[in-house]
Amino acid sequence: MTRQPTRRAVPNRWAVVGVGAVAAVVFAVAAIVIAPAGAAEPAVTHVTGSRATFVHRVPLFDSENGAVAPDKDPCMPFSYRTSCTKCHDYDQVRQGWHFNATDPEVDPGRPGQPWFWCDAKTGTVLPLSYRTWPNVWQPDQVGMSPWTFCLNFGHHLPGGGPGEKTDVKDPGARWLVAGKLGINCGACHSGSPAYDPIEWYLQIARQNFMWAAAACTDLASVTGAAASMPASYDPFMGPDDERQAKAAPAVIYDASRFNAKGEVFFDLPAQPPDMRCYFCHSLTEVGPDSPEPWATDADVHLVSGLTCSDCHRNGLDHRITRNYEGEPLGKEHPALASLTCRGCHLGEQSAACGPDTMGGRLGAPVPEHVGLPTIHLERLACTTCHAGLYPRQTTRRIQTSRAHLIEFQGPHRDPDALPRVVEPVFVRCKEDGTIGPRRMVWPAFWCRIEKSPEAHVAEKVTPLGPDTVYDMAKDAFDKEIKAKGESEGAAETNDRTGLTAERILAVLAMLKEKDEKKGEFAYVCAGKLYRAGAAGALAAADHAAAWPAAWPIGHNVRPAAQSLGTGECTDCHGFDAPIAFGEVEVPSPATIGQGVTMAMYEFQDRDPLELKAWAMSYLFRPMFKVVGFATAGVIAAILLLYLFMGLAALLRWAGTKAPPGPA
Amino acid sequence: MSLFQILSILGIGGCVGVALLHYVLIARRQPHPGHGERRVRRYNLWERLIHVVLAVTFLVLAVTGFWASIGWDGPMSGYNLMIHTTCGAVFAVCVAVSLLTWAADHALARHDSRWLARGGGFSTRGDLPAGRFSACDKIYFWLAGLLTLAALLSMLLSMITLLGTDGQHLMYHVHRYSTLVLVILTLWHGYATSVAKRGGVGAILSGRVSRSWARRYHPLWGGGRGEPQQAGTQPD
Repeated sequence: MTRQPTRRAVPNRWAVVGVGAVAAVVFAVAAIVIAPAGAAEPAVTHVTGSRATFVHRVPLFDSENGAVAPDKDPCMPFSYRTSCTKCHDYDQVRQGWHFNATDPEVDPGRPGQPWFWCDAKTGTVLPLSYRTWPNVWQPDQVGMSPWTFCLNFGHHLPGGGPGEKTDVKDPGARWLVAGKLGINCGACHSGSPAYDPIEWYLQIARQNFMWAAAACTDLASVTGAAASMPASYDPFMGPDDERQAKAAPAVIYDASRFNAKGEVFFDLPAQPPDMRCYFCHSLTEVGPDSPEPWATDADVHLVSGLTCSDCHRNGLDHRITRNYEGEPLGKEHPALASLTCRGCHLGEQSAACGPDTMGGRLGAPVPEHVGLPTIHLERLACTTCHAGLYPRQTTRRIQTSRAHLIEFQGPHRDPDALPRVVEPVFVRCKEDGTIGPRRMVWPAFWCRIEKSPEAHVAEKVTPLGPDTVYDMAKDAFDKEIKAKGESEGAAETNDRTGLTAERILAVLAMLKEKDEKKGEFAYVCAGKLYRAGAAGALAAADHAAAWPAAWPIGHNVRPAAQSLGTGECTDCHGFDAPIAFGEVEVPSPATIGQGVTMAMYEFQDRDPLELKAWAMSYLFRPMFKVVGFATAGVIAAILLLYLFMGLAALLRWAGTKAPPGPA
Repeated sequence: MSLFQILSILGIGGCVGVALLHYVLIARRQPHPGHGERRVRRYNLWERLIHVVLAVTFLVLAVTGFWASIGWDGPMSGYNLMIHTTCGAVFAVCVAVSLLTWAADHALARHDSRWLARGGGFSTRGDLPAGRFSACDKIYFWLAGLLTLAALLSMLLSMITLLGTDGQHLMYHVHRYSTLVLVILTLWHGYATSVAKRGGVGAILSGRVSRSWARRYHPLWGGGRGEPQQAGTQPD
């Protein structure tokens, strides 16, 4: 029997191509539709509307979304991003004011306190901010990458922002070793008294970015330092050997804090406690006459029982209200006008957003301002009379959390430490013409000078970071230089930086020598730009780059009884009134520019002669009032006299019209 | 533009407009009462001095005040305010002195009602009964005193620790509106006594007027208070 060869069914070539094409399309569609859904969880908006505090008994996840358990190996630090986003959309949260500085689309609003890149050796005080505020530099303009920014200023960053900008090119960045510096929700929201923000600072110093948030809690302890690990170290793979294991960052959880479901209780109230705000937003007066901290008072609002977040509010997007008039956020939420000083205390009639805009919000007392002509309410910011240090004849120095790390003890707490912040400086606001108090820092930095492409700008100034300057002119900074007139061998010790005119000239010469382009360099300090002059001396010139970084004072608000003007009109209109004739210190980290001051009126575009003439009028004001009231009395008396005489005549005339009666 | 600015422009502009119309339609067609005749004294040196000081300070006050109000609708400040307040004090004292000086002459009399009933300054007839001052002058005099008192007190009260913000606002508006009315009335007064009444400027500067001027505009001047008497009989 022969087998008939069976004919194999040969598929039609076009049918194969067709089926293949259909399958490809189906897979492609499936890939488009299904893949993203699987890759990212749907965003959740968790807003209950209840004023009750939600109890956060939650499971924890690491930055790769893996469940965290105390016995896991390797044990990874929990991440607020992956743990919280189950209920609170992280991408919405990161729009918040504390995290959106690096977003160029965000309106910078009125200036706030910038960061200060300070270095005493090179005499550098560079105001930096990712926000485009006047007289501050963008970090990338001075060669500072987000990585370096985090290392320098991470101690008071709440995470997010530059901490998550890992895509910026920087050969020195070690994001893979350190991890991202994600938003640390606990920095603001932790209600636990055991929460330790100092740990955050320590972990940033060790480059333990990914571990920092966990280390602050009493749930976990973090050991080791990413800074000591090689660039090839992968924290998710763990250490290669015993030696690495000893130095590698590691987290140890308190197992007793995990319940049977693997959940952990976090005390995270929706409204951040004031103590959390204070960690980054405190300040203290320093200097020879400054009071001890215990002798000073907190903001009158807080003393009265309000909290920071009663006024500075936010939704899930964390765009915290800054509560000044004209705030960009107010365009979206007109009712915000009721949370400014004026809106809360006086009411905001223009907003017309219901009872909130009627004034007296949160029980705010409506000020009477007895005897205060209304022009003051139009020409002055509320804070002029009510906030900041009470003005004296000279501005005083303060130190702040973010600029001076006042939460920490150490040599950096010297009263002369950089940056030298002075307040209050009364400045006229260019936008609305009002006069208001500012804190002010005069920049000091080395810079390259080039001809500006813009016609109206004489020269373009590009600041150099302190590291760059020191690398280029190390010898000039370190060598012993005699100041003019000093005896042989005596090193100048005039200032901690030792930046005498001679040294500045030497550094400028060395910068030029080391520069490939042989360009021109200058040093900015004390409100001037100094460069090597023709006669071998420093030549000073005015330049916009030397103008101070200034930001409005919002707090501390003083009680009404301690406001300016409660004493006499001459508190502000006297011959020596600090608000007009006070001296503004122009601190300099160099020996040049020492002792320079400016008059307060120079920041207000006011004529001192006019101010003096106006002050003189107050000498005659008591007499003016007496004469005025006497004159008014005479006028009133004559008017009344003739009014009564007229009335009497009228009555007499009316009497003549009465019926005469029988003869 | 604020309500005050609108009212200021309407008020002052309207006053000037009415005065122009009056001049074109009525005043220009009136026969000149004549000059060069024997002249009689209308104002003594004291009266002229007060009047001149009042006029100058008023002018300065109006310019400095309304320059700010109409110009940028804001409160005054700086030198402008200093000049305004200084002149304001002098003006107020002069108003008090002028009240003491002229109050008796401005007491309303029976013939004043006839002056008003016949159309006053808008009448083309020449036999309006008026003593040393016409009914229009008298009304202006008393209103000016009243408005000055309002303007003065509104500023004085805002300078002492008595009124809060609402009170200060009220006083500010009282000051603005009282002075606006005063300015409008004074503009009309100036026109009516100097342009419409030909020879009026000379009267205030030299203190003398012609007999025919006196007979035409103040036919009852020279008698007792409110007592009709032939004008021009007052001794030189």
